[in-house]
Amino acid sequence: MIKKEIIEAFTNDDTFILSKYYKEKPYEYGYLDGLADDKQIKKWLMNIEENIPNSKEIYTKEEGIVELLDGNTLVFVTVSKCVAIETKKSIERGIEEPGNERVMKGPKNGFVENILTNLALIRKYVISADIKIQYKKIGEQDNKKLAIVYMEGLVNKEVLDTVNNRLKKTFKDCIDSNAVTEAIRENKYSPFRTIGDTERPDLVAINILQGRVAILIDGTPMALIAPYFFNDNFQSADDYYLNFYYASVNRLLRILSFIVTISVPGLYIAFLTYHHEFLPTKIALSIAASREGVPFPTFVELLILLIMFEFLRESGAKTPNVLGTSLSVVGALIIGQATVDARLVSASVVVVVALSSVTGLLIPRLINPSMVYRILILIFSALLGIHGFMVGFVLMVIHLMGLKSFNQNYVSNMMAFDLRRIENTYYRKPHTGGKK
Amino acid sequence: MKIIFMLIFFLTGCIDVFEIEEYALVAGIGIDYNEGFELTAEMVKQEDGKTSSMKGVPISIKGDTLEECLEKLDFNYPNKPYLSHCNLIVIGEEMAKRGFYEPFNFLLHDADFRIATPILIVKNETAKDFLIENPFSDIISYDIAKVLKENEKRANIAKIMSLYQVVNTKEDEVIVLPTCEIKEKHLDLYGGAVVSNYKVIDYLTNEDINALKIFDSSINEGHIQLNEYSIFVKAVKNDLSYVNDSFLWKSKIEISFGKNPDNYDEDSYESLELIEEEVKNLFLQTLNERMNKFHEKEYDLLKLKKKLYRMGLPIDSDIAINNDVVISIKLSSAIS
Repeated sequence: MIKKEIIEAFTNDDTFILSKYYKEKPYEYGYLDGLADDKQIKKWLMNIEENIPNSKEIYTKEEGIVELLDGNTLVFVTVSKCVAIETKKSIERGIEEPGNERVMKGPKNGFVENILTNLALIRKYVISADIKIQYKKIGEQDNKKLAIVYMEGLVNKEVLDTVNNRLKKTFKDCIDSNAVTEAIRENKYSPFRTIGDTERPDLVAINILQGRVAILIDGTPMALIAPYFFNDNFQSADDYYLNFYYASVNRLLRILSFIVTISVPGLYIAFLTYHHEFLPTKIALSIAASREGVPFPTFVELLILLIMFEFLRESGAKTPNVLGTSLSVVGALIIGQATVDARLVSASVVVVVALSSVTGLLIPRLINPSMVYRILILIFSALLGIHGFMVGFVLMVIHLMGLKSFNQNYVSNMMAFDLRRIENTYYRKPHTGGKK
Repeated sequence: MKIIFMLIFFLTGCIDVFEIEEYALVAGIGIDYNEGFELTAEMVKQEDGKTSSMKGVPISIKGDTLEECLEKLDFNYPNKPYLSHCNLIVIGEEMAKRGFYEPFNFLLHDADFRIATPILIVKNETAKDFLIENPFSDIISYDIAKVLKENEKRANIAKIMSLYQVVNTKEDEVIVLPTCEIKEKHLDLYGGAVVSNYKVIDYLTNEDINALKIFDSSINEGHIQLNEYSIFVKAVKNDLSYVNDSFLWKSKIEISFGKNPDNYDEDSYESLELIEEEVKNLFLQTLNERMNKFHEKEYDLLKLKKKLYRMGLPIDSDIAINNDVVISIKLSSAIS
């Protein structure tokens, strides 16, 4: 019966191949074309009457389907029993350095789509029996594997329990890292990310050694990290491989750049529209001269340029590398030169938007919140001047203070008065090597 | 709560705000009195959107009060005059003698006006003439303000006094304001004007100002011309103490000097020590003369009475001041 049930399950699926092999008696077998390796099938069938390693007896339709989807071949032995032979075809790319998280020094390997390879990569960085890996299956239709990785003894039990509880829910859609992130995070509508992700196994190793939990999903070359704090946005993989002075200065620069990217347009509009007296005389004269003949109010000018920059950024991300240079030339010429020459915008606004955009790109993990709060603070400042700027900024701080990541306070590390807690937030502490 | 939050934004008044280029930035103002107030505002105007093409356009308006003058100015000029970037207040001779408390008090309470704006008194002329008939620079108010600030701690020019300092002087307190004079199309920043009760009561020469600055240690360095010697005062260390019912002014002054080449006489190059002694004596003599001159004046230019008041001593007494000035000559370049 099992054979009939499985054939029915794969009706209208042309990749399901049902065939016969004749030795001393005929053996009927089935596999999914593309997932199973033909050479391995032939090799095992030739030795079918011998004891085949890694084979498994299957008695139910569900088990059989899972084995077939895994790339294995089912040999139908009796009406109610079949044997699954491991014939999985290896379909994965080589291990390469992830393009989004390049480092100057340090290891050059990144995750691939295969979860087993990814777990092996993590194990290479943490050579300990305390590293624990728990598999879970959370899809209703999709039978993808998900692994929870942590260090026994170091892990925060509360976080681990929260992760396990939240992963009890099942997913109807295709499961990928973003679907899992959005499903299990708190504050779903916040622009700030409260679950981290990385394509680097060395970073996962560092994080689980800090007592965090990593979540890996089969088919996704990425690991999720929980909990994830606000200060993690300002850290880079490079920080751990470069001199701590350099790393600390870079980290402080990233914090400063976040403040600059959200504040500069708001402050500019506040000073230029309401508080002209704040500007030093020379700057006031220079800005007044550059705005002469521009038809739009400063607010509209800023908004137009900020939106144009977002267009450019998005098109830059979607443009093939070959066209990238032409895009940057056109972008720089149109925005930087032609619009100023045509007196559509003033040169000072171009400088403000450029400064705000460049500093925003310094912290790729905060691009979304930077964009949201930059516009929000800009609108508040256009309405209320410097008071509006303060309102917008304070609203952002209040929002940040209320955020939680797996029941842990999102900004506690940055707000702590304890030097030991902030030692790896604002700056990187040098490696001490521990006690002898 | 939502309604209050929305009202905040709808009642902000952001609709009638002025963009910065819609304002006419006022670089400096001149105040004169001629049967009423006369306000001269130097507006900054740019022609082709570049700061290099900026020019000062002086406009003069008459009115009974300064407020009326400003209102008329607003009506008569296409852009709204903006006083926040006013860098200089020029007071004409007539206004300075009449007293300028009223206009200064008005400006001090104007929301836009910067209270730290420096003041310049024009000697023998009106502020209007000074600003309008200016052949010296594109925006004279900014340039004069810059010169005053740069030379504040140098010799020959009185220290800058700002609007709030002048308005907040006590009754009978004497202050010195920088002055200037136009002599045959040549602008001369000249000594200082002695002001008491918001009126100019006397003028001081460059030599007076130098002596005064040496006395109150407000000079860092600067050239002083004494006869044929160009003396460079480098550092001043002062101590004023009250001993045995009189003041004792102890001072250590470092100077270096050069001789004017026109008067240079080779025969006199006999002994550098002799020349140094001559310069020392000349410097000390001039300083003593000035100090005696200040002391003889009715007004308390050296602020000795103020010091007595602070020490809790009676200020009516005739105060004597004794000098103990040590002059040292450093790196003399005489007759080189």
